[in-house]
Amino acid sequence: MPLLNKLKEFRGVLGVNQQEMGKLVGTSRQTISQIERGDYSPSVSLALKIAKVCNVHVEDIFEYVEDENDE
Amino acid sequence: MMSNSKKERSEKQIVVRFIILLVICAIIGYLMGVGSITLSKQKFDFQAINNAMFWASTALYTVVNIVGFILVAAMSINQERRYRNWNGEDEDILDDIEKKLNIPMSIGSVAQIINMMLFPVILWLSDRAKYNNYLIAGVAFVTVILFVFGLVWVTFFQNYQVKLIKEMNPEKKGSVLEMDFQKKWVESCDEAQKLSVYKCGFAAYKAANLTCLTLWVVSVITMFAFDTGIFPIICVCVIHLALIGAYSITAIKLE
Repeated sequence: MPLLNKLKEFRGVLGVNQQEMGKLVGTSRQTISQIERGDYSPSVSLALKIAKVCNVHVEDIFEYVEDENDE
Repeated sequence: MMSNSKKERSEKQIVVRFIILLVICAIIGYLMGVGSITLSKQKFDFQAINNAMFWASTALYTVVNIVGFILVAAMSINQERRYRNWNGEDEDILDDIEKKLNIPMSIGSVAQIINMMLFPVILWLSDRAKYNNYLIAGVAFVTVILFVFGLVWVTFFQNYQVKLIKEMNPEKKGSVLEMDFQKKWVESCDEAQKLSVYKCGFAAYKAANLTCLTLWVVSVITMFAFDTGIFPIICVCVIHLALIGAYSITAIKLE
């Protein structure tokens, strides 16, 4: 599922590395890295946790892009 | 959206193709059956085959243990050195280290299985090879030493790699030396890693399914061609049952 994300930008604003970000949202550094690379789409609960930690709405971090084949 | 008639046509095509495949497999099966009966009537120099397999197995066993050890040691130590030299800035390096650690881990696992296969095979073949008793005893002794060496280096480097991964990812739990290592490790994985584990599991299931079917065919042929007995077929089918059983029980639990 095509999901654009700006997690790296918001992580930069918070001033934390991937390990620290993982600890804040209760996940691993590897998962944060996979999300930032676009290799993994987080679950709803994880996306909400990330948004809460970054103090923004979920839609500010994650954006769903319509796949051309879906039409 | 496909119309019903188009859908029906494509289903008919599927059925027709399936029937054609069944007929082709039946013809191949018949030819293989005839071939295996023909083979069983041939006279083979099994002693020469035994001797050749004895030396080939011994050579392969030695190469796997020595080359495998060198490769796994070099790669694992190299990745640890890269981690120790990491400046803490570029996190892509950590991802690359974890990715590259998969290679020595895979080589170690494959080497362990080859060891488990060749160790009893060489001892069995040495019992049947017609060579000087001292030579056979020497080869058997070296085989036992290599078996122990193989167990030690594979376990050592698995532990080494897992310790390094745990240092890079402190939330991970479990030691390779524990009986319930896999359970503890998966429990300490988060959602993304569990998904990776499950995807790998399904890929392994598909490969094992196909392997069991292939081995079933091979076992049937060799049973008639070379009088290998019923044990190989029973083993293959027991493994296949365990595979399908585990899958089905887990699927039912998850419903």
